[in-house]
Amino acid sequence: MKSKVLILLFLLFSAISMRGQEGKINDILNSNRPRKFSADFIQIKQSALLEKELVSTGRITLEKSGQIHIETITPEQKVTDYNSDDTGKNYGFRLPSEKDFDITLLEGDGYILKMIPKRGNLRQIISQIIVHTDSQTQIANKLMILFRNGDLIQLEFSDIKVTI
Amino acid sequence: MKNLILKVYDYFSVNKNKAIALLITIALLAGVVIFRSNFSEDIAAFLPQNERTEKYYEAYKHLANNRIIIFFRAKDGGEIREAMEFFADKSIAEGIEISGRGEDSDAGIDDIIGFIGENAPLLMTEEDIARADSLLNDINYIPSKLSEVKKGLYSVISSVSSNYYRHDPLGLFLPVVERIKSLNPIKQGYYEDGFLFSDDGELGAAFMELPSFSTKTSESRSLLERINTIKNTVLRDFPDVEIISTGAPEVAVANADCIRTDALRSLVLAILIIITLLWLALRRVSYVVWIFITILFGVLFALGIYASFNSDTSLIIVGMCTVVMGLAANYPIHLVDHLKFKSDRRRALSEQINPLLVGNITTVGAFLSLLLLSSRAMREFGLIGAITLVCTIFFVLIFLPVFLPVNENPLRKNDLISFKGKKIGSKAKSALVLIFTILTAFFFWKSLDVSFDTDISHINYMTDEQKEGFAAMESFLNNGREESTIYIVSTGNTVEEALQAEEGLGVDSLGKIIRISSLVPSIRNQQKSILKWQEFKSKHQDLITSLRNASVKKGFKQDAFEPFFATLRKDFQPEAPSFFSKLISLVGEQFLFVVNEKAFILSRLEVDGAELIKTKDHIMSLLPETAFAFSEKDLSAHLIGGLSDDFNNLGFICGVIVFFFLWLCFSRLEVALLAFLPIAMGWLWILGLMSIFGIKFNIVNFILATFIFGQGDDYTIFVIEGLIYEYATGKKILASYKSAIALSAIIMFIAIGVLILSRHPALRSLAELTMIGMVMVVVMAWMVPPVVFEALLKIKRYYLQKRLSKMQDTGAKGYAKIVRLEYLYKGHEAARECRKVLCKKTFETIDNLPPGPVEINNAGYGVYALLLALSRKDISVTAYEPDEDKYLTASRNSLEPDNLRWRNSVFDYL
Repeated sequence: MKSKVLILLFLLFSAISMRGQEGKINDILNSNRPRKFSADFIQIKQSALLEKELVSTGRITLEKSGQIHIETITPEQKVTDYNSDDTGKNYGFRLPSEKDFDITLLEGDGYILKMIPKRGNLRQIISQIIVHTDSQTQIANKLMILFRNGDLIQLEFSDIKVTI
Repeated sequence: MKNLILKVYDYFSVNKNKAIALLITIALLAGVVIFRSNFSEDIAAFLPQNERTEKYYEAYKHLANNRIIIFFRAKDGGEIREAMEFFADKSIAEGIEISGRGEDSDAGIDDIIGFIGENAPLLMTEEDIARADSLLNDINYIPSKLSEVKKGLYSVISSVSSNYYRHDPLGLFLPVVERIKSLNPIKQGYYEDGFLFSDDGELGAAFMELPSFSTKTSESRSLLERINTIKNTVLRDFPDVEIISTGAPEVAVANADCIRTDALRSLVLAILIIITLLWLALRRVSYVVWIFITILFGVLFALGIYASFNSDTSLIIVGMCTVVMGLAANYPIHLVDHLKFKSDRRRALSEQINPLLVGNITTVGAFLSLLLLSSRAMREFGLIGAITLVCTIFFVLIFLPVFLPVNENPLRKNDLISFKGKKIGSKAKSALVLIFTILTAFFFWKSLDVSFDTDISHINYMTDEQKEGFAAMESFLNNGREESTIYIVSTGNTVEEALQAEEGLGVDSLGKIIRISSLVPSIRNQQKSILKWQEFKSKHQDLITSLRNASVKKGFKQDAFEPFFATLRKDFQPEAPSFFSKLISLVGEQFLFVVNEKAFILSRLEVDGAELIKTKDHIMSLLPETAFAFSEKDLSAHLIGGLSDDFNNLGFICGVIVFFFLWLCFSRLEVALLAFLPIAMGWLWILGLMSIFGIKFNIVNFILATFIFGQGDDYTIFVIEGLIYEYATGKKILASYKSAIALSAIIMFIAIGVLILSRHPALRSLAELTMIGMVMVVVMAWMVPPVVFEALLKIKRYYLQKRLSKMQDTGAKGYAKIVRLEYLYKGHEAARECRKVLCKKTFETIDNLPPGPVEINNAGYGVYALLLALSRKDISVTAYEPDEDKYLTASRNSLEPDNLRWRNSVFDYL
């Protein structure tokens, strides 16, 4: 089983084909390869269909084995579980794996990774992902996903617990 | 005929230069005609030609035959994606297209969603529209659906579905989407960027489509060589990845290569063994060389004749022609082997003309029976086989005796194969007859189990890698489930006709049906849908307003569902099939194609594997004449099913024709039966042994049936001619004939038998049948005719004695019956003399002769002399005949009247 970097819901980054900045990006990625990651989240979504943003909150738990557990608290309580091994079987797609993105390191408060999908299926949906990391722990704490249809999702993590 | 051949021999033996000139002229003419001919390589010619098989063949061509699949597997859980990308990039750079990887293949999901949304009313059925109507009849439906949509938008992945919501916020077109989704044949794994991956991502597949269906392996080979070069580059750069490839073009090339290697190795081995054997048997290099020249001339001349009447000559036909060489070799071997015992070429030729001609005519007859089959290739094989045999016999009778070196020291017995043994006693003979009869009955019973194997895959050669590839593909398609696919093909003179036929199949309740008309409805159905859609719109005229109001209330933007509103406003007109090409490309264009102005549409019905045959039979009974069904497993059975029917007829037709020619040549029914009995018994034994060894007839070895029939009747004819000759003249010739038969059979046995070493199952099946067949025909030809002939002679002697004992002095006419009986089974010429002499005029002459001595010169077979001596005891007859064989036949009569003396020549008398 290839290793997966467990950071966000479905769109995860991992090892990359790097253009410069390799060392730092590798450091960041390695910091984001815990056995278990859990955090509270606030998701703000701007949909091309809606006038207003959609805001939801909850807690997410990701495990290296591929288990994803999401407890949504607002606007309504809901629990969703995914297993990365089942995604192909049940949903006809896979969780993004190594080398699905071109990643560049941007300067900012902490490190910021700009991830551009390389492969057709992802590229058709997502134009880019911006990942902010904590300047000390290098763990991802915020990300923005820009969709090709104009949708935008912003996810912020707090109370992050990481098991190495 | 015999006299004509001998006259030609006499002429050419003193004008050898003219014979050489004629031979060279024929060879040159044949060479020029062959050189100018176009050679083609089309396996389709092998298949029976009728409307039914042509339809199956078109379906077969379009289903699977042009796809190469390259599998990538990670060693120790490594990564394959990059290797696949690298492979695809390299291939595209080399001009090799990878399905789903070209610039055009980036047709995104948005495009498809957009197309469906904009044209859904054309794709909707009456039921779909009724469903939409029913949904909207609920006044709460629109607000509740919008709430559901909005709730769904919270999900990260909803950005994919939000595009769909723009076109169908109320889910009115969902049945159309579901039908299109169901067309995906992949049960396991997922597609990504044109690659197919297993769920765990450790196995991936890339697909390549050959430009068009091709039966030419040379084209496939060149492409595969380029692919292999790329594969090797990938393997070098990605050592942790395994690559295997498979697909029909790969299998075709592997088959062709395997056949070529096996055939070449077998040919070299066979030629070496045969040359050694011929040299050991004939003891003269020149004899061996002339046998090969004869065969080459036969093939060259035959191909020349064939090519002069056909602008295209199939390479398969050339191959067949060379196979017939094994049979044609029989003729020069018989003549050359016989010449070993003779110093007089003319006499050797004279003795061989009859058996050679009769054998040739019957074998040619057997080959001509193939003309009655429905496969063009089989008919052509029959024709080329017959022509090759006629050309070879022409060379053997006209040229070979002229050029063969004279044998100064004729042998007394065969060096290599000798058949002198102790005579079997009558008890042992009876026991043998009994055993033979019991065994024949047993083999007849077993023969009923022998069938025709219509599964072409059984005679296909596949490398382990290719087998592994097919198994991997099977896992993607079936996911270990015991499901089977039935293909239903609807046809029509136009695409519209075929679509209408497909829409009217009425098999939906029998399994999960995947039909192209979900993507391309017929004009007729589109018209119906448009009418219903208009009714729907009339009924829900306020839909745009109510939806817009409700959606704004729920927080959606004013223009959020503008694409859906555009669809509602649009006036639809029926569209041609090409309009739906974007959707057709989702499932592959092999599901809808037009050939020779005939449209074909394939639908797939997935049924429980255990119910496959039952369901298929049921479907067949439901289908109209314009449609047919098959499963993947029995497609080849349908294709060559006609051949299997042909095969059942072939045995009967072949038998009737051979028997007819035997009767014609031997002039007597019981001799024709005697000649036919070993062939029929041999055939039963072959079938029985095939049943015991589990060998089935197939499209390849079934050709051998004709060979074995032809070879069997040749051998039997030679043995019967030998028996007749020995009985008539008392000269021992059977051993010579038997040795020639053995030599010929051993050569055929080796020539095709060495194929048993082949890796290719088709070639091995040829060898298996040949080995059984040749042993059987030789055993039957040797064993059966002598026993039955002896029985016939016993019957003849019994009737002769009976007639003699009842004989009264009735004059020449009365004795004619006795003379005719006496000359029975003494050969064609003696029989002809009987027919010529025993007539009213002869009877009157004999009855009116005055008593006293009579001398007859050139008495021939002595028919006249014997009749005269028997009917006129008052006349002393002395008959002179210079020809040794005629003299011996005449003098060895069983009646031996006292008033008759035979002399071999007038000098003997003097």
